Amino acid sequence: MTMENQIFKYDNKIVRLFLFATIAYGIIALIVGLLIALQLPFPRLNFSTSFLTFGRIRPLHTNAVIFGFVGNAIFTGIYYSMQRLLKTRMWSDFLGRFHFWGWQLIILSAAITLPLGFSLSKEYAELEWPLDIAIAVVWVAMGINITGTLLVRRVKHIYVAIWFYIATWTAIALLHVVNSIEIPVSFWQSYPVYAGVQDAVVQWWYGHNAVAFFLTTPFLGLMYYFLPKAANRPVYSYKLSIVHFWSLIFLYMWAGPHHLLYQALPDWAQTLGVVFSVMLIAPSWGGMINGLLTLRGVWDKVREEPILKFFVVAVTAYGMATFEGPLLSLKNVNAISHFTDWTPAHTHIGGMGWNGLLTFGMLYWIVPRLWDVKLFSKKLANTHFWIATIGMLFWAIPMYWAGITQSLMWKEFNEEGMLAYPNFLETVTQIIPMYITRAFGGLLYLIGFLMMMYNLFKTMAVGNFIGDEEVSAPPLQIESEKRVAGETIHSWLERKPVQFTIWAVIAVAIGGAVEIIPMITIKSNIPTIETVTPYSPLELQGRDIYVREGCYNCHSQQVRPFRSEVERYGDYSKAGEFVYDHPYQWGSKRTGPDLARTGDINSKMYKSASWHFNHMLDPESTSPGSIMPPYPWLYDTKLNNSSLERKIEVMQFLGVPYPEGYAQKALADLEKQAQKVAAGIPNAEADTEIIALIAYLHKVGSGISVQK
Amino acid sequence: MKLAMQYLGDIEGIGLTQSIVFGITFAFFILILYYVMKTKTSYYTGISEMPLDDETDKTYSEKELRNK
Repeated sequence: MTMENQIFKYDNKIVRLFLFATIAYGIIALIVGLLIALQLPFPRLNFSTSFLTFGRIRPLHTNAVIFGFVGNAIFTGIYYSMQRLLKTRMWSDFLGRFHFWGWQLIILSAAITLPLGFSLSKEYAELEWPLDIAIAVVWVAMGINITGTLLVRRVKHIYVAIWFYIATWTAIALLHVVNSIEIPVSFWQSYPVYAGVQDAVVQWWYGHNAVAFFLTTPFLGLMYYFLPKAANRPVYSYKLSIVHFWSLIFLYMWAGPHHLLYQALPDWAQTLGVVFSVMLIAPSWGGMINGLLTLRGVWDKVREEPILKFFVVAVTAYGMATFEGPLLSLKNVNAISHFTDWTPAHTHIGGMGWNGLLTFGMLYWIVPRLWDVKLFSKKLANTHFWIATIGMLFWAIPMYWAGITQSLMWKEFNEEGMLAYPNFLETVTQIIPMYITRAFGGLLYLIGFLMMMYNLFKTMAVGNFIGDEEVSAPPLQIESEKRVAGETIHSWLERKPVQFTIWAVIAVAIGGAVEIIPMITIKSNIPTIETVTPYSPLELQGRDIYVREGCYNCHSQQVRPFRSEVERYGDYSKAGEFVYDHPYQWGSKRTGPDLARTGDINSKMYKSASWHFNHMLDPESTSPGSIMPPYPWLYDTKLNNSSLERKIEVMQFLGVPYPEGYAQKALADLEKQAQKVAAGIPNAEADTEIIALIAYLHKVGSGISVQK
Repeated sequence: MKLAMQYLGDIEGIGLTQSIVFGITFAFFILILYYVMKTKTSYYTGISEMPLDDETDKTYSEKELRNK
């Protein structure tokens, strides 16, 4: 039976909206990235202003890249490809616009709130609770629109690219909701329900899988759509794509604990993280090989076509990053790489190479088609490709060098058995030239981006935008809801979006459940330590300032059980030390030294209150050559105690054992302790923020000190 | 064989969790592989060409030809 074609229109306007947002946030993210890259070798660029300090704007860079630039690029690609693969307009124009404007409002709010210091301090999940709710609402709207579009499609089979979009949607929804369970203490502040080890496990289950399901799976979907189009060849192996899809989404969820190796985490969780990370190389490389082999027989086109050049290097960068990921998950390699610049080098191969270059190739593909005109300059696009690739190398290579150099310096002992570089700062000044070279790489990448903007806008200027593109296709012929003769279960699933989604949810949920549920429910995973006591009201306030200023961006609070670390910082960290930490503050990078033992009077890291007072005002006065920014506002700003009662009540609700009715007495205790701390520091005012911060720093790690 | 058994016997820390996890993962892979091997390649020939079946490209190609 032949069916007559139906005429309908693709909605290109929604694609254009997301495309403009991709470009806008791309440029913002790169400029902020360049600024923070320069702040490390040139600390004056922090401008002694709270809003522009590294600790506050580094999250702005990561959020602008991940959710602004990459997020909008994903949505551009999804809205463009889904309509064409399913031969239908998106189900709801309204939900599409709601998704667009809602998402932009969230990113804009992030751009305002993060420099203001409203942060949960959980990496890539820094946004505070009102924005977390907004993200959930917008994400649901997007999901309804995607599901609706799948249900009104005109083709029977759901192409593999869309499987990856479905997995992205379901996994991110799950990750975001579980990781964002927090109790508000005010409109712009909340405490996560998880504490210490549990918070760390949930956060890195989220953090690792945000990389998997926001930076990887949607881009694999885009690869499976745009690479065959640009090469004008079908994907190398559709069978491989099926194995690739299921094994990737199943395995990824288990690998989160590899971010916490040698840290205060039960061994079984660390081992699972390592084993699944190593296994991940198989599906990841399956995807890479499938992408690159799609070009079999048309490699000559790569010479001519800049879009293919971008795609080839993007997929190669994906292969490099997914080889390096399992490598970094091996405990012996992780012992060297973790907390160093090796980590940002790894993430930027993924971010600049895989996400960035694939996005550029996609934009060069889409714009001429939406504006129905030839690209303004292929030559300029080629130049962009080379400058972006070289920029990426200038960025990453010095950081690999810096990471390995610094790590070896941290671990080196002299003949007397003492640390060869006992002063942490020596290991920082050594790598300053690498920081400058990295910033140069970032500048090249930014210049390439500007070239692309010029090229695309010139293309748009001479083209004629087709907002509603009229096309035709036969309607979907409805088959039996059940499996028909000769149809395998998977073939049936491939035409049943709801059932497919349910199986995808099951596949992603197993790994998370196996790791997180025992961590929360089995008490023996986190042995308690009697001498570890809750934070006093002043220390709690100081901790909130520590979180607000984003100190975790440069300082870890986790001494690993290595001779070099115990010698430098003090006793290694124990799981029971963090039971009152909402949120945990272990960090993932040491641009400055670890602070887990700043309150341990037996540790070399212990410094007097006066030392901290002078250090925070002018770091170079106590540590000549320091690249830490000064924090002068902490000395002028009075401590805001308006929500103190509520903070204590929320902590009590979360299980912190303050005595009943303590919330009402907390302020008096706070003032008393503040007077005591300030009394030991010349010219200090007891009611300023710096006093609370010092009180907190003297609490960190002191539980173990008492034990001694 | 004796050497292999001795080597395997030396491995420590293999508990119930690890065994169950391995079992689940292994079964999962086998299931996918079984499905993929069973399905005829020809079934996917048309499906894998879905991205190439697009009227937008036709419009653009005509325009590109005109520009040339």
